[in-house]
Amino acid sequence: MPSKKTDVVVLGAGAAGAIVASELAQGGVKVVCLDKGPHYSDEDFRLKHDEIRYYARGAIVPHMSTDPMTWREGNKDAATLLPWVSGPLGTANPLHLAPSLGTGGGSIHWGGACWRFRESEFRMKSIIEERLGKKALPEGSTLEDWPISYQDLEPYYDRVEWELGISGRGSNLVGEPQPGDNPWEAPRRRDYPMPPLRQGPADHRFADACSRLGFHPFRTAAAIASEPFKGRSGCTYCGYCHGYPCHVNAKTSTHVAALPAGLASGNLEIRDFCRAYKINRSNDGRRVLGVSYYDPLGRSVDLEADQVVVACYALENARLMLASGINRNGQVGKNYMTHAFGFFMGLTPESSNPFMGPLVASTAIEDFSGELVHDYDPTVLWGAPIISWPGDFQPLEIAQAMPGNAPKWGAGFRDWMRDNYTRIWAMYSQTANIPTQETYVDLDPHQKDKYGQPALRMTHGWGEVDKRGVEFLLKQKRKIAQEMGLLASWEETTAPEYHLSTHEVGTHRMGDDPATSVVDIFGRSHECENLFVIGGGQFPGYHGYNPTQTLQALAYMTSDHMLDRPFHRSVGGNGN
Amino acid sequence: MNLQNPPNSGDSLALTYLNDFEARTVEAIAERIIPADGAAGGATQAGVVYYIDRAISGFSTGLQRVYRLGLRELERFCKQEHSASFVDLTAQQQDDVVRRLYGKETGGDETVHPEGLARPAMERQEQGNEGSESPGGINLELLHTFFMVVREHTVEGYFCDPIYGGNRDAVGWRLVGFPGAQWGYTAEQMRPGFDATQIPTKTLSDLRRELKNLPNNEQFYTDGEK
Repeated sequence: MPSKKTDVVVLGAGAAGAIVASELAQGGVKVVCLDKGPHYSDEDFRLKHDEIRYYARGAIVPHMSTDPMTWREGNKDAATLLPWVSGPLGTANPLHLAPSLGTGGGSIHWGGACWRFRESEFRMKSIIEERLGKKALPEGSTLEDWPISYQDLEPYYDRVEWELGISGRGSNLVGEPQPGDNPWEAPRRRDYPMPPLRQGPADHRFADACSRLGFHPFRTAAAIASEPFKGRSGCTYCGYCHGYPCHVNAKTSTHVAALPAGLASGNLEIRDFCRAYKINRSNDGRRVLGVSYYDPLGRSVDLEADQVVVACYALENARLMLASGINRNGQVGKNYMTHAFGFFMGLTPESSNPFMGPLVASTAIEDFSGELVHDYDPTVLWGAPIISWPGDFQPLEIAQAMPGNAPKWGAGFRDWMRDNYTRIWAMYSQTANIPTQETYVDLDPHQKDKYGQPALRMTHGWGEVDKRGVEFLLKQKRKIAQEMGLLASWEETTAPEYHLSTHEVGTHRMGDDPATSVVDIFGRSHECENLFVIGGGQFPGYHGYNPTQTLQALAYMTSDHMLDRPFHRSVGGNGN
Repeated sequence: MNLQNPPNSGDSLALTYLNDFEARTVEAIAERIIPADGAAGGATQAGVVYYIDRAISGFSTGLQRVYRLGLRELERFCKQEHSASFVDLTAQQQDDVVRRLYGKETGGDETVHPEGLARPAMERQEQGNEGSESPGGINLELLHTFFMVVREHTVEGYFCDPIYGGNRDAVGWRLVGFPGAQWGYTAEQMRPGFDATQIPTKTLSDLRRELKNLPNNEQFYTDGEK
């Protein structure tokens, strides 16, 4: 059935979509925003302190029964439903699934780790080739430099921090001669609007050990208000953070940080429980006409719009384009990249009280980030920060993260939890796989969702260079653990069993060349001039940082472009 | 009924799916997975079986057949091996059964992720894989799946909020030193070395009771004594 035409339809009210929807609405554009999940209110999460509901049963994340996804390691293997998300109970670990459904999307359940990519990250491919030689990248690599520079993105990074609310302490403020704690921070026009969060109890031990080892610890920036911000409360450090919604709206979730201003303009309509299944096009295929979606009662609705913005996450964006037949150059779904966490857990000599505070109440070091790693080991292509994870651990999560040699049942299991739970502390890093011709997503030829739509199939394995990066950082973590005096420690393997980390990117790469990329730097489709496909899927390379602040900066770029505001570009313009 | 002191449904003995014998068997298995040690209550005292019973009558109805068929098969196994029901075996014999069917306490199988994950485990069972059978015709694969499910459910039921039926009197949380559902923690409480056992344990019921009179968040986000 038809629905009244609108100026712009935005699919997905998540980390990026909510920004575009709200910015356009505030700019006078009539916007309809569809989301598969509910439109959340403040009241919904007041009593979110529930590990069964949000962690064990994944109350706000997609499940394989409604949003199936398959995976295979190589392109000759048979794909199965994601084997790592589901334990014996058939439930999912929300850390290794696509992000939450509903307004706010992944920014509801995220841990709130905020990073600007450093300047060199935007030239990762060139720097690797310059420093390590043309043959350093693996065979079949499809890595590219970014078509924009850090300088181009800096104003938008700033906007994310000041519009949405990020807590942190800048180290490299333009015009200030005294550098801060992080000597490798890229220049910033001003500091964060709020000071860093209070550190988790055992974070001090990590920071001190790093200092003694000659590293350069600094406070991690957080998408969590450390003090009242634009009517939202400061963080209460309740310790139910990653995987959970926030009960006091301190977390920078776009349903509270972005959507309210759009809704106040009177130009934004949110339709929740609506599942877009097709982008409709003109006969010549060069323009989109709107979308078809299933409404809350399962009826198909056709919604016409002058412009369509697809902001459903890197995975669903690619699936929806492919299912809609928008893939003239064959590039949609290619260049899949994700993170391995190199997760490292240990026991502190004294109580760590790991149930207190968010995981980002933490400290990090950048001594081994990006190209800096080459000075230590030139066989490692690209490094990443090592980040402390001092809190936000509930008992069930720890019971599932015990070392492999710990008892699984009986008195030994009970005593392990009794003796060790309050001494848990962790650190991690995030190394991205190098995209190759064998890391991609496409439509599964067999698996369908309950609406009969084809499921997404991932093809992804960890390559040798990927594993080397994880191993190098694990080595550094072992050194830090020893200096910290940890009593015991255990770690993830260099080729973890998951291939989806809630940090997926690259699947609709941006670039200037319509033959080798899917969208331009503003997220505009090369194939359909009034279609925008935005989010981490735009990234042409990937780095040791959480993707969200960067994809939100890009969302502001898209919004400005759609509102005909100027953009200042320092590099290129004619291909990568 | 006295509304001032409503009956405490957290202590209910009623069952919503399992029959009495099944519940007693599940309780006995759960107690082997997390046994009491005198000072600390185990799965029985925590009411884990009530968590499991409500889970399979509500959220995980797909696992009902795993329980029903698994329990039936366990009885056959115990009758065959020990000429007695599981609940009537000694704790040592029960541990041996768990070792045999689930795996050793330590160094046993890593958690296995069977195929066909979104589906309840029993459907997988029925899809063509007849499983490994012991000479007596016991379906050991079914029993292994059953024990993996009970193990996960037991851990959940031991550490869940008491509203879910398990973790009664916060037995599990008190054992490990988890203060439960707290609105927040102050700077003083987050100081390294703070003895968190001083913090009174709270449940979701406690938090809901306090909603009418929400705490001032300032006490949590300010650093206090600076």
